[in-house]
Amino acid sequence: MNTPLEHPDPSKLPKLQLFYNTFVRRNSVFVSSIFLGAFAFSITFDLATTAFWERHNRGKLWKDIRDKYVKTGEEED
Amino acid sequence: MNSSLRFKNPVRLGHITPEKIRKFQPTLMFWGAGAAGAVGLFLSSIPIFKHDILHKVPIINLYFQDNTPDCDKPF
Repeated sequence: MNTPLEHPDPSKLPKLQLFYNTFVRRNSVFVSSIFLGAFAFSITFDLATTAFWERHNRGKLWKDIRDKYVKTGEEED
Repeated sequence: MNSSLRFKNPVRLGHITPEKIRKFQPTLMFWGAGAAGAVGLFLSSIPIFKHDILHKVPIINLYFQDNTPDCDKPF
């Protein structure tokens, strides 16, 4: 491990040290946090981008204009 | 005599003994969580995995439910 003096900004070292001690020191924790983080990120990123897209295009999406074209309970031929 | 007998555990598989498993228990738990995360990540797009497992996990199932109304499903 690097000595504190080798770090370019010594004031940030305790956080890095905490990160290292929490996530990197044991390989089981490191690998698990990568996979679980990827799983969580895939969900949150999809939710965030979908929410942005639907907010940006509000009023133009099929779910917003469906009622103009499809009557509920009406059977198609 | 008792102290020498203490280490002769009949339950073992090669070098794997209950004592060693107990010692590595936290590590094995982390590996198990990591394996579960990997399976969830890589299989989350497979319908049978979604239906059988992800729909039964609380909180996460809210994301994986299909909220498309029936009138928008042509098939």
